[in-house]
Amino acid sequence: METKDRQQQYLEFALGSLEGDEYEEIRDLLARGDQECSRGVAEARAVVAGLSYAAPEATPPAHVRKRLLAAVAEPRRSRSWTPYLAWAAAAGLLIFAVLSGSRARNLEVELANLQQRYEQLSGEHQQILAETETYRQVLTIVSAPGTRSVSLSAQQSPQLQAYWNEPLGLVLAGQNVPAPAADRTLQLWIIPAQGNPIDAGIFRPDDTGRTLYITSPGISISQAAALAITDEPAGGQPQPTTTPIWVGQIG
Amino acid sequence: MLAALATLREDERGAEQSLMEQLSRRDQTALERLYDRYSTLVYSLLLRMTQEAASAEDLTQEVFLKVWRNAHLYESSRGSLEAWLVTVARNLALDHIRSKQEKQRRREDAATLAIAVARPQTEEWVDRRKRMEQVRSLMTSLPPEQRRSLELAYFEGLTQTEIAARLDQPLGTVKSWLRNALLRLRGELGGRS
Repeated sequence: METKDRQQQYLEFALGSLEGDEYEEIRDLLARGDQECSRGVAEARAVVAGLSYAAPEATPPAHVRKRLLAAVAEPRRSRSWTPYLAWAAAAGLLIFAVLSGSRARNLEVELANLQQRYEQLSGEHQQILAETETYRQVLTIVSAPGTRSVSLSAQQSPQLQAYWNEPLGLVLAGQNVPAPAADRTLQLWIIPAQGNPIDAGIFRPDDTGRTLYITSPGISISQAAALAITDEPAGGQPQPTTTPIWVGQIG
Repeated sequence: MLAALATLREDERGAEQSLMEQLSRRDQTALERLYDRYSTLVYSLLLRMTQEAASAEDLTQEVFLKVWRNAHLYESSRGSLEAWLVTVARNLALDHIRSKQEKQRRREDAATLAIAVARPQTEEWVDRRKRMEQVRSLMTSLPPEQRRSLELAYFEGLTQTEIAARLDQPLGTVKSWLRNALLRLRGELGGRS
């Protein structure tokens, strides 16, 4: 039977804040394969992992996905008709090369080009899938019953439009949005009727200035008075440190 | 109701195990599904911890490569895939931070993995949004000193002694803050483990 103190130790161990004899004790129990301790620490890790949701939401750039898939790609595997065609063509070229040895060198070059083309198409395919998923989420929010629209205006920048639905989330969309400096980011804030601004995540426009950001505000729309966007250091801030560039009243 | 929830979690665990088995067989589509489902959560955490977009991008790739290479180690009975991914990401980020700061501190062994479920994506997305709201609401409701202590421990990997030094508070006080904050957290999220 676990005591309350022991459960607390598991939580502090999972958090990484436990020290001294208490830390050594838990570590020894785990090393000995103590089942009760292993189970307790596993449960504590699951609880502590929930803190990850407290981080300001940020979407990784598309090239991260592309790079990851390229790192694990197995050239002889294919998943769509385009790669099949590419490999079928490559196989045909190989047979032909055997039959006419004089052209083998040229065919090797063609094969390399086909492989390069296949990898390029595969990467583009992944990017399209990711974008499709984003648009699907946007459509879900924008078309849902009860979605509120908020216009965010700025003195020297194009207007942004927000669509907020509970509980689906908030979509922020805009075109020709000026990019912040490389070590800066844009950060969205919910301004409540009372109290301090609430962090709603960080985002950057893409290379063309297009902005499409989806987040989940931490408060009910009925408690919110306005939306604001500031320019902050990369990673975001707990509270705004600059004057808002965009502001939109929630009517 | 409880029986239905228990059944749902069993289904989730089964789906997670199945996804990890696909990863063990080097099924790239399984990795794509995993990435699409969790990359925002992982990247957000890494960006918050490292405060550098380039480092967060590199570490995001490293997290998913680690899962790709070690999928066979995953046991659904030891916890959810989300918890495992977050644990792997946090440990990598702490290693990165400590390496950068040239600090020598012990590191908790990371040995937990977990994956997601084959429910409809919209439903899953809404579920995770709710969880995010739940955690953020909890953090907002904590007394400022408890919230700050928890953030220093989780996002910066500080020990109780280091937090006490950073906040210039007695060690016993910091222990009490962390204890109360963790108990609140467990009260809110404990049922999901």
